[in-house]
Amino acid sequence: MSKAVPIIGMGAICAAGNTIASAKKGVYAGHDNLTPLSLFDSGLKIPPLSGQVLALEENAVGPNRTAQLAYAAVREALSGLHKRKGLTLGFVVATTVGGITRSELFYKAYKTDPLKLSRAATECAGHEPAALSGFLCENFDGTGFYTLSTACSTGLHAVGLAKRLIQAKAFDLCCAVGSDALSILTIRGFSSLMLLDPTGCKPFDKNRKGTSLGEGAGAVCLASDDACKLLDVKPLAYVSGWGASADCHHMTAPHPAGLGAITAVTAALDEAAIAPADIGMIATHGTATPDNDVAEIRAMQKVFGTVPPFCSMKRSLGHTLAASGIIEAVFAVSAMKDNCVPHTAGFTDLDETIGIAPQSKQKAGIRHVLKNSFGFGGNNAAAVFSLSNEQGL
Amino acid sequence: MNDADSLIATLKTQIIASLKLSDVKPEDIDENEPLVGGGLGLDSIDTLELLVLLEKEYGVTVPDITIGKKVFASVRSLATYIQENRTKG
Amino acid sequence: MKKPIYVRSFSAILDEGIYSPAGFAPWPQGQNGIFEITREQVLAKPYPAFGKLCLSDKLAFCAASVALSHCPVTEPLFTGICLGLPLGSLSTDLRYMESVLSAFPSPALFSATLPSSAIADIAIFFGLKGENRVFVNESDSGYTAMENAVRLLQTGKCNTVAVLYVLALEEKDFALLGDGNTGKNRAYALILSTSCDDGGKAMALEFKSAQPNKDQPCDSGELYFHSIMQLLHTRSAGSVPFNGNCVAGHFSMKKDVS
Repeated sequence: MSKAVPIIGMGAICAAGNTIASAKKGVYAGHDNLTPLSLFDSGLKIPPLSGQVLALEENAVGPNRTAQLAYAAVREALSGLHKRKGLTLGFVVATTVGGITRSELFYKAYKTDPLKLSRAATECAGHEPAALSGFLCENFDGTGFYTLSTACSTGLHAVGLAKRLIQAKAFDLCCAVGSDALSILTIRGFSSLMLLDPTGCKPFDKNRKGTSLGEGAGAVCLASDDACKLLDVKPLAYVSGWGASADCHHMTAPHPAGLGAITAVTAALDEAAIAPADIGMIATHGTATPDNDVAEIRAMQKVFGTVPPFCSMKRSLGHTLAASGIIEAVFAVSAMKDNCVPHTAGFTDLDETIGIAPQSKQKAGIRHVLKNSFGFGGNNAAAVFSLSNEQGL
Repeated sequence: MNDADSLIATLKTQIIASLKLSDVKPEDIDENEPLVGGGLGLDSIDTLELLVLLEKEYGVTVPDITIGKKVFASVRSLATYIQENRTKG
Repeated sequence: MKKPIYVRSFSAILDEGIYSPAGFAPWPQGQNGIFEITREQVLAKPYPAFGKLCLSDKLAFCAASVALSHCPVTEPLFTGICLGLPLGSLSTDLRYMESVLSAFPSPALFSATLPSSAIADIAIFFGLKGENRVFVNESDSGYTAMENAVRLLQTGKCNTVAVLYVLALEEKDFALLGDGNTGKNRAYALILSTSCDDGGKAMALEFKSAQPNKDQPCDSGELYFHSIMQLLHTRSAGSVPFNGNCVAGHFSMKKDVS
């Protein structure tokens, strides 16, 4: 049995653009797409630079912003699949905020008018994260869904679970989706944890002070080998390996030597049955918080010895939380197919403590990419994406 | 009891309440011992929570991490910093 | 041939008290039940951060502590956690919004708004380093957590998994979801393992794979955990069927256990 699972569709909507095609060139070139937060008043004196989707179409489909973003990404990922020929389609959905943007509006209203409490049950029902999966499943004619929430690593967790569900033959097709809208909760939360750089994040830079938040959604549609044959589609790429672990260190700080990250990455390489030297690019978690970036590179040095070319997309997209693992995986796979390593926006000065710098590359000849995602609570995930499977197909 | 001692006593109660240290009594905290990384088991999130306490109760802010390390060295140093910088409370 | 899976330990923290392999312990008189659960009631050693946990994190931690106290972790790298959280972190989200509107948002409360903060506390305290995952879904999160745990064990990714199901809403939020939710707070933990080698003290429940029966409707997560807990508590013969998307079988009581 082939261990690599084919990807037959991808979609993304983010600060860099509303589709992969419109966003990818900017992402490769390392465009800075952060703008002062204007979607809502976060209560902070200076609106932090954030990755906002400013052109979310007015007639977007969905009960709340997170759902609208997810809908756009899934529509793009499934656009090539007009006929499903009776194949089953599962959804594994990753979100941290769910419908919180509506809950926040509701909460403010409820504080001023307690009579609105009577509407609370229906309001809140639409805000729970699983309502998002149900919405996608219903609108895209799915046959089952799962909803995951493990902070910033959730998106890549969804890819891993979707891979396993395909391998366990639970579904013929399985769409991993990550979506998070910007919200007061996350902006104020990251701000109070002093993890935000209001002037925009600088991944791996010696002057990095924190991350920048963003919003968006990504979708990756996986399929069984049989489903690919039946639909007569050629895979775009493969998810060949995946691993996850727990740091057991701290709620919001990574393990300083990246011990949990090492376990997750090693497990992903083992599952892909490739050597560390086969990895042509690392799409890092690279949040630009002082702790994350140094711990992540320490971990990569331990696994790889000489670290392959690596990039962070956080300045181009903002940290899109549960969506980041999937959106950044989508652009990493696109970059592999387009034969380049994206430029890391926001980086200018080498940090001696880290010792190495992110580097972009043209004609990179990449056959395998590694995507890392690390979350609060020390929750780590890593995935290997490959141009071809073991049979070289 | 002078001003400094009374502020130290108040701070101990406020720290316990703000950090929800249910197993700790004010007399368990030695005002000369390290506050973070010491016997109270406080970590970086607790430090941030204490920053909120300082701003809320005393209108005091801590500009950067170097000063923060001195301020949070002990309850006594915290009290001294508040006395020098307070704008309310 | 799929590996056998055993239930090594369990706990249920309910309105009436705590169920565990040691028996049933009702809440002491004068204690407001689940809301005033103490560290001493679930854990022998001190845990300074206990008082800081929000209600849902606290109940998850308590359920895991009680179950793990009867089944110490031997291989932390291969011990995972799967949590079903039907309401996500709703109460904490509301407390955090109150704190934002008060102009001084609490950083500790924000980290508790993440549904996965519960497993982080458990993983850090007990040193469980395997895969962990949180399912947030009002109708079947307990079920998907269990299915995921069984698959982690069957595929060899873990050899022990703590499966948790936690429904927690603070008293002041009951009105928000209607009176029907009053008194529904509860937490279950099951320690599943591919080995039962602990000197004959293994719990009697064994999971055996079977063909999925799509005609047999799935219980909701809560009922499902409750049926297993009751079998273990009463030690009566019986079996609880399981029908997932990719995992199916029965949890059955072995006859040779007194």
